[in-house]
Amino acid sequence: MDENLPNTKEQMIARADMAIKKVAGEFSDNLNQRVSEMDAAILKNDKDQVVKMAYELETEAATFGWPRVTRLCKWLRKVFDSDYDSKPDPELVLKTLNILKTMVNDTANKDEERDQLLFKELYPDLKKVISDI
Amino acid sequence: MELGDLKESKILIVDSNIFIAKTLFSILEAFGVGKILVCETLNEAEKKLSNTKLDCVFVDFMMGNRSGLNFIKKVREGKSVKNEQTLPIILNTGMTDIDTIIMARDAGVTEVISKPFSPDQVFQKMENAINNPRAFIDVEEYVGPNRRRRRDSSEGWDGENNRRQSAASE
Repeated sequence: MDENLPNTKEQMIARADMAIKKVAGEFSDNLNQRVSEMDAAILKNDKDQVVKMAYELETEAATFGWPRVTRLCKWLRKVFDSDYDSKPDPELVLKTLNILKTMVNDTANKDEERDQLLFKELYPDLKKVISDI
Repeated sequence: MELGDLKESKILIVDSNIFIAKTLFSILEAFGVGKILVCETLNEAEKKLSNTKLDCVFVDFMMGNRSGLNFIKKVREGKSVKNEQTLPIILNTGMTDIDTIIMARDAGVTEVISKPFSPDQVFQKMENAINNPRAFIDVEEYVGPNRRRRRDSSEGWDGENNRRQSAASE
């Protein structure tokens, strides 16, 4: 760290934003793999593992430019932690997982428009199960 | 320690999620923090607390089978030789429900930052914790920063001030 760097709030935050971008690349490179591992844990019905993986993705994704991944993982984490308002339909869980997989399938070529439409379509159903997402 | 000049400061990150720890490390490094220490477990963090003088701690709420709140309570008990009870502690959590926030507040946390976070939010929480600290309360049932954020609620109050007076006379 250069000790002579200027230190106004704006300059400090601008440097931090740049630093985050470097870590974001590493996050995106592993995102597809991590979602696949969570998918495998869901298929095995390993609830503790699903909750752990979903929580980690939920708390990281939006920092690195994946806010919808955060929302979907929060939903999955709550569902598998039985923290829902009404019991979810298994088909909705699979649909959510498939949409999540689509969103992270090609992280180098993120399709914001497609992801926005997918999320918009899914959101009302998610909201019926968990009001706080 | 002033936020504009952090090169002499020492900050501890306690998080079992290496990715989050790495992100926070990058942010603090970019802010110019002189020394950043990272612990993956609460046991490691407790050792660090006992042998290193720190300026601020970021601790995660979910630390395996132990909660980061245990760490906060330990600091507030004042058993560390190297660090004062008033050490600023910022809790990182993805759980932002009211119960979690109340538990954190009652454990004596200085600030809570919800994950996912941005550099701007980290800056804001550090600024509150370091540059604008709340009065520190040390009474039998609670040790930690004043849980009320409003700075002066007594203005215009002409009733009794029993609690304030008894605290002052202790």
